Amino acid sequence: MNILLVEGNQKTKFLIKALQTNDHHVVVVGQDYSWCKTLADTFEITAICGDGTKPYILKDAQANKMDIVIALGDEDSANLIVCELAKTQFHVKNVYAVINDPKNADLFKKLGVDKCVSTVQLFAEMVEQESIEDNIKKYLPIENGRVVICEVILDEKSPALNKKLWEIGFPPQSMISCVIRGEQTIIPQGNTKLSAGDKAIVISSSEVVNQVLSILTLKKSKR
Amino acid sequence: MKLFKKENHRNIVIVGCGRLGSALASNLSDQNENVLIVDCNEESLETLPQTYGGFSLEGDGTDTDILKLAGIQKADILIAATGDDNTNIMIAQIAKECFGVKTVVARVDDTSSDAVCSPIGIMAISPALLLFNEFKKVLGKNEEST
Repeated sequence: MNILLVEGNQKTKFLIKALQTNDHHVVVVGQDYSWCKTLADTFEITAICGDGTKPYILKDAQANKMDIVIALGDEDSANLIVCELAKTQFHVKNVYAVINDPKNADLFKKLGVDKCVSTVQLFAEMVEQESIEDNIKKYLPIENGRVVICEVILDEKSPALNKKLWEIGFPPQSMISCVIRGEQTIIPQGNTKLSAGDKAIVISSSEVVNQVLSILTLKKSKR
Repeated sequence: MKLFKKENHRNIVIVGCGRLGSALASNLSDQNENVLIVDCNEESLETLPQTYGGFSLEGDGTDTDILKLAGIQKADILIAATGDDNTNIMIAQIAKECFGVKTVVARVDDTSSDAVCSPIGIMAISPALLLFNEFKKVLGKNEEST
């Protein structure tokens, strides 16, 4: 595939390396002359020195032939313009952007950017996952974190042991959708009892997830 | 600062308090419009003339929360008048697409950026183009008189 990268300092280098190993054809646009030169020399790629928010620079970089354009710059506004130009003037199918302010994610999507990645958001999600205890193995946010699925391993201290599910009293908007006990997979009902060593797959809305986890694991997860 | 909000006047939000922004703000508020000017630099806001009768707000104009604070939901006109083309276009797009502001005007230096603005109904005013037209007028006159 033909991929155009715009700006992005260190990120670009890493990305070029990764893309080249997958046999993609990469072109770079950047404002800094020496940066462009280094990239062109080390990776043997076309590097255009100029402002990626200008249509004539994108034209030089043959944006019309690109399958993907990725804007990696430090300024959200510039990234937005790059993506819009690529989309509207050069009819690039997939335009991606890095965003610095996670609040801009909705706006970018609204204005036609196919995918945007926010480092801060990723960090926040990572911290959220790290902060949850060891007995919760996997944590999967869905719909921007509105719903979460997590896998909880019940230990001996769990307050939910040896109780029927209906006795435990889960908050509304939450349920144990599946219990894995050794080789057995159980779709639990109200009278199913949990025992130590069970893996419980919990689906819950983000508001009550902590409540559910504290019911299952004794320790309260921080947030 | 006025105590009573003027009814029957347009609500105007201006982003960027440079020479253009501050001049526009004071001029429009003199015409009894409800004006609010946003700039991320407090010092820029201090350059507003003492007679300026509108509001001012310190903050980043590309931040939707700041724009909400500036009352963009009720604004009739948004003027993006910062020194940076990309910022102006982004602010204008936020105003148009997210908040549905009726009239959006952006100061855009590079005339080629018009391609981004006009399809979605943003009016772009380019100082370079205005200068060019003005020069043409002056030169045209001179040719006639000689």
